[in-house]
Amino acid sequence: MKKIYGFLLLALIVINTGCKQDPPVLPANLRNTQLLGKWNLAFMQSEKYIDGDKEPDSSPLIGTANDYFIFEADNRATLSSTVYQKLFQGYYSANTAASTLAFKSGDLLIRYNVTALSITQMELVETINTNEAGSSVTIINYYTYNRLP
Amino acid sequence: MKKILLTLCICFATLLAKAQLGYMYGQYDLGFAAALNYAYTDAETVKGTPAAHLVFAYNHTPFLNYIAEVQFGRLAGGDSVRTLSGREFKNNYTAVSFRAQVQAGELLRYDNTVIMNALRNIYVSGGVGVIYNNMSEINRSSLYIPDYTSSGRNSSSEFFIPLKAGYEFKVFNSYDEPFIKVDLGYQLNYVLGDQLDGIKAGIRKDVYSQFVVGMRFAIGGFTSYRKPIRQ
Repeated sequence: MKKIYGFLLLALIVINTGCKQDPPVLPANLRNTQLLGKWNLAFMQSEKYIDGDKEPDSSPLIGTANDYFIFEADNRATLSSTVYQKLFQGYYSANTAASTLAFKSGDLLIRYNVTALSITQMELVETINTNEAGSSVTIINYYTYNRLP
Repeated sequence: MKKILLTLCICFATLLAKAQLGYMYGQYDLGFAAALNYAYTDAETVKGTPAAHLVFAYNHTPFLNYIAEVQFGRLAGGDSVRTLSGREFKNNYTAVSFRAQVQAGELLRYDNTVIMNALRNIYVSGGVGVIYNNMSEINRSSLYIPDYTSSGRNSSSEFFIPLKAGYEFKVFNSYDEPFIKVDLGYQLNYVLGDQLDGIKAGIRKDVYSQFVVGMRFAIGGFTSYRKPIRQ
């Protein structure tokens, strides 16, 4: 009789230890704890190139209370933009080694180069390449965000 | 006188033969099974999928069996839309394995109580196998988190350790030989790799479990056992 209990115990051990999944963990190279918090847009400056020729600079856009980024610990992010006239809830990834930042919300995907990052200030560069009437157009947006310490 | 002695010898031989009934069994079985698979992998959700098995068994005794098995089936899991990682896969696999199976009847006396007689067909089984993975569908990238993607191979082969527990009902013929075995079992297959889902991530290796219902038929090699198989 003891032998049959040994059988059953072995079966129970096998069943209970078998089926555990690997929880997905975001790799470290897509996270950046320096970004966490709320960043308010100070100003945005744009440069436009048509077929490689620079257009005259436009006036910088001064950030309002509705222009900000929020980065959270689980890679959630919020972008509020008066340019897009919308608030986007989505996710971000930040590659520290490559100094890149990407934000995605639905069909919207924005990629930035992070040119400066400190406790109180972040500078991002967004490059957009399009075609207009057969001409190659490049728009480079320079963002300066401030964060209250 | 010689005729009388010969007649008596034939009669005694018949008696002896009758006394051996209930001890005979077939050493070789052929069978099939159906299984319901669940894969526990790097994908975030689990789905049930079907499989079919072909089985050949060598019965060293009625309660000690060596089983060769070929599986054809599907494994699937994950959800590219409803999970953050976006991991989703469908694997059309083939697996070959060899198992040794020990039933309780080999180790204990089952002729003294009804309960022990019923329990004699409980078994545990273990072995080794190879699984050939072939992803028919795979998604390794997140729809939501930019650049969140995993690596992996669409085709691979990996060793696995099958461990099984279950119950084998025996159906006897008119000679009290077990000629059909009906198997109800639960099998865990520990894959010695991380490509069961075509996604390489995390630290755990992949596992798939199976609820199995099968039948084996004795096809020959009849020999005798040391005690009655049927009580």
